[in-house]
Amino acid sequence: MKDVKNGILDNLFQLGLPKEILTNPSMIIEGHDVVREVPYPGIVLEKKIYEDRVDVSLTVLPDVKVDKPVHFCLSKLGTGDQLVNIEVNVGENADIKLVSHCAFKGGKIDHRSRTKFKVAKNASLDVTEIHYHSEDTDIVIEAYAEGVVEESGFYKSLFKINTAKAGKVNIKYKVDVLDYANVDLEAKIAGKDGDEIYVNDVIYLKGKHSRAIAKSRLMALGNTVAEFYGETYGFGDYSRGHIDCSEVIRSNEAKLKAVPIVVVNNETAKVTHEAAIGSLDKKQLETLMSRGLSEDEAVEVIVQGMLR
Amino acid sequence: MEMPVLTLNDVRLKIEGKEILKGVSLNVNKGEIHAILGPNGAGKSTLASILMGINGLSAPTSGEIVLNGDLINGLSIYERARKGLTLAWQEPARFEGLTVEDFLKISGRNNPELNIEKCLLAVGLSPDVYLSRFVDDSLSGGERKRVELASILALKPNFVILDEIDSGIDFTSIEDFQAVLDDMKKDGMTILMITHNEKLLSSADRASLLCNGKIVKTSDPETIKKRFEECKVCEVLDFEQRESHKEEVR
Ligand SMILES: Nc1ncnc2c1ncn2[C@@H]1O[C@H](COP(=O)(O)OP(=O)(O)O)[C@@H](O)[C@H]1O
Ligand SMILES: [Mg+2]
Repeated sequence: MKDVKNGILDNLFQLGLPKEILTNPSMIIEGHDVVREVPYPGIVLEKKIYEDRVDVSLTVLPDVKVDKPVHFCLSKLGTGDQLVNIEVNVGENADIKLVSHCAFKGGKIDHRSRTKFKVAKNASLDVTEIHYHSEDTDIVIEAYAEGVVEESGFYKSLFKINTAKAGKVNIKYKVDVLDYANVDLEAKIAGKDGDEIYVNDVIYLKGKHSRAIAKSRLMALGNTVAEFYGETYGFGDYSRGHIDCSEVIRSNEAKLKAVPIVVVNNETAKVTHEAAIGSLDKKQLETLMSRGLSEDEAVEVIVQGMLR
Repeated sequence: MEMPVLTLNDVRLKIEGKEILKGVSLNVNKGEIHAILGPNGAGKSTLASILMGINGLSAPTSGEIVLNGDLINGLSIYERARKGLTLAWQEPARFEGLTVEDFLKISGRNNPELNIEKCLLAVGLSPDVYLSRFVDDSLSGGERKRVELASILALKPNFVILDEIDSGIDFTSIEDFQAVLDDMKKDGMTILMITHNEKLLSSADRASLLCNGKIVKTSDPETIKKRFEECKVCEVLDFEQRESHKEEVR
């Protein structure tokens, strides 16, 4: 059994998973099996394993400041489905940084995650979700996160696919932002031939002086569909929202769409947006080529920089 | 007998019916610093573009560009780069998510003696501060141009075109910049230097005056500087008109 697990870890490290997952507080879920856990005082980690899914809940007790990033790894090595339900509760005045590594290798994989989160008063939740997809994976990703950020709380989410192959990706975030709370959503994804990327951010600025930014950076490098829908509702007094979408197109076969939706029903609220779709910067490409890089190598450097 | 590494034979360029280069002929010798002077709009940056193949200018309308004996008309930018040619931009590009360290490493990836700290020190930037900085809008114009020069030192090309690399640089003394030129020369680079700076001009071995799309004279820097001063007097006129105008006055 131990050998099997080592085999899984080796595969994950090859895909790009950082080694610190072995020492930091963490949980590794391969398919519907929890293969490794490192606990941390002040964090309650619970799991329920079913045949067709895993339910995980993570609670940070009030006032606990977690001093190192907590790592989650959701992986699927080879053909199959993965469904993970996640519940994250960050107690009052608590502070946590979560890094979620999603690693998929080979075969036909269908990965779905449903996250419910609550960031209590004065608490902070900072989530980075990084995907590693091997070239030979035929993958469908569906990630849905829904939650509330209570008074003066802070929630930050960065979603990115680090590898060139994105697959069929559908991500949706829905957040209620209460009084004086602050939310920052960002997605960075590059797609190649056959990839389909849909990003939908829905933000309700319900509280007074609530603030949010929804940012997305999508790149279509081949026959790719990429669509961003950013919806922000300015309801609270003096609430402030901004939607920032920029998309890069590098193929005549790509289909790109950027749709900002701004709804305000409060005269003290303000929500702004900017959306741009354009090609890669010619001067950047030419500069790198003048240093001896081929066009494809230059594109790779620029795209990796943008995904950083 | 000096050996030219770069030769331009009657290079002409028309863009949308307008002739911008009107028969440029020039020899740049191996290991020399060859300065190009000329008033605004003379065609200096266009010349740099057509040499490097950038801005969609991969070949002149007519004429030949010969680098180390090979005709390079029509070659792609990276094919030219792989023949040892590069360009330091008048206004260098900004890159999101790319650090100075990344940029110098990419530039110097085929240089076996690459020492990026040394490259930065040579252009007056402290590696401790600058290696981790991003080559994006957070660098000032002068800093970005120094990084551009450092990347040339990292690349160590055979031939570099410097397009007004001194403009916008606040080198406390221009001697710093002359030292960079010396480093480049010591590294065996041949340099085509587009500049307006008189001190830098004095570092050149030879110079050419580009006026209204033509090289009107190639000589020692001092002679070219004098000729440039005359040329500036009646800048609005076409150079040939100006010559005949002078004849008439005489
Ligand atoms: N792509 C272009 N299309 C039309 N005119 C151009 C183009 N590029 C340059 N020019 C014109 O060619 C002339 C030379 O420009 P440039 O080479 O930038 O001059 P310099 O660098 O000597 O100041 C200018 O009159 C400029 O307006
Ligand atoms: Mg110019």
